[in-house]
Amino acid sequence: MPQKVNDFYQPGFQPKSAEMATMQMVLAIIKYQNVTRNSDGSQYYRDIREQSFAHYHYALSHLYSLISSRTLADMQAMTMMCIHLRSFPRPGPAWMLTGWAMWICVEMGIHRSSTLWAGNSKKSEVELEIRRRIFWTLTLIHVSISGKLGRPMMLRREDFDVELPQLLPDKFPSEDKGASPECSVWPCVQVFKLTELFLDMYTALYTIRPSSDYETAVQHLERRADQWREELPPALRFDSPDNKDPKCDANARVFALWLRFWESEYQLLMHHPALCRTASQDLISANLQKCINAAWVIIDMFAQAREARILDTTWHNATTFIAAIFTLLFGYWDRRSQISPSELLDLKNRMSLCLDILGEVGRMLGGQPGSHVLQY
Amino acid sequence: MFAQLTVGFHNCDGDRYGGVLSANSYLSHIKGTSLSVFGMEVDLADYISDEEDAPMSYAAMMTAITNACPSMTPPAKAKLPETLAECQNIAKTYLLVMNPWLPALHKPDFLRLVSLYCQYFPIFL
Repeated sequence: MPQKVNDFYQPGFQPKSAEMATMQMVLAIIKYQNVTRNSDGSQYYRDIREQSFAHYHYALSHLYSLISSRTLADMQAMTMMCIHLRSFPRPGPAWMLTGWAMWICVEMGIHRSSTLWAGNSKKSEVELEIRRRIFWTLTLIHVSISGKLGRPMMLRREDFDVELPQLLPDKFPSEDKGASPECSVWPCVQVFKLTELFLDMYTALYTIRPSSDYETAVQHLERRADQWREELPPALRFDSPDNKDPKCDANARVFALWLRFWESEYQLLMHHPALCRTASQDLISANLQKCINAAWVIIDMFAQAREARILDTTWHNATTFIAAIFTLLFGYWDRRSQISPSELLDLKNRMSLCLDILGEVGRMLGGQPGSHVLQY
Repeated sequence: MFAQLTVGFHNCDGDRYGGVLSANSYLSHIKGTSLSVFGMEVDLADYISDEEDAPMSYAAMMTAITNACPSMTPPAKAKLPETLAECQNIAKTYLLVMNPWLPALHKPDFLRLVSLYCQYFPIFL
């Protein structure tokens, strides 16, 4: 006889709005991801999709309580909503809700260093860690959306001093020893460090009134990228022996692939011809070459993600993929007098692969059956 | 070009200024969901059907938040998982796949919350 969850509902247990919203958002996210990746258009998946939206809208109806109460648990629930909205095909709702959440974080001082609360016995180590995680998760989502929309960032680096997550151990004694990491969220620190780089890059280059010289800014950002790469743990370096070791955390290979993708996206955006405000032909040419190199890596990572069935479903990464394709087309056109016939054939073959991948990306974004994202 | 980007308030020009200007007329940088090369423009938002998008739209979000429109159907009743196994599976999947990237949840606290719903079968204890 199936044990129904409701049968064991603790008598008198009344979940708070934050707890109910968090539970509903986890269900919404998992069901939505399931449908987006696996749907075959059948009624079964359409039903799961409807359920996902029901969970999401029900959680949203608690938003007024979350915003009025403003405890840490409320911020966690709001962050969960932002995580879900990040996966939607259009950026509008995510932009609005993430901004709202970040402003409340500022009101609560979540953007400030935990040393401010040193000696305050009311804030436990776990609470401080959750504050750090909430801030950086929201910042990651916000930077990604704002950067692509060409909008100003809510906070620049000068405006916050909260530390990166400290990775408190959260492994239960009964969990398998050995392969499982001590802290289940260990990759997030590397992602957040990369988010800092993206934030600095967007505020330095993708800005209406740049405050520093273009060439100086790019050199500085390149050094930061090199430093980030050097500090990457071996298990998260794509193609490193540690990453290929079967004993390493199975998810590490997935994380390493996406980190490589996002690092290449950073390189592409940093050196992008559309933002290249310099008269030096050498620099323009060198930048374009770096873009071409980064674009090939982006396409390669996306192709490997598709093979491993771990394609990301978001418009953020889809636009990066298309930007890589367009950059290659532009780059080869710009150097058409220097390209050999075999290189051109190679480009054509790889473009066919890209179109094939785009078909799948389009389906995941909720495109109509039979629509083509690019028609040649 | 930017009409689909954010469908917010009527007459809102806030999403139509197009961010930063491009220095290259052949290759644009990413502007939200649209890009262009050699004068040919692609906007991902054009390929998303409005019908599919409706529950995920800005309008649907604001309606659910504010319950502003009494004539609209209230949100469908959202049910919790019916079996213990399904509940545990969803929680474990989320902690393994989503949380390491976007760690809004503290694993022990979240599992304790899930346990509250499954009083006699706490997970991992």
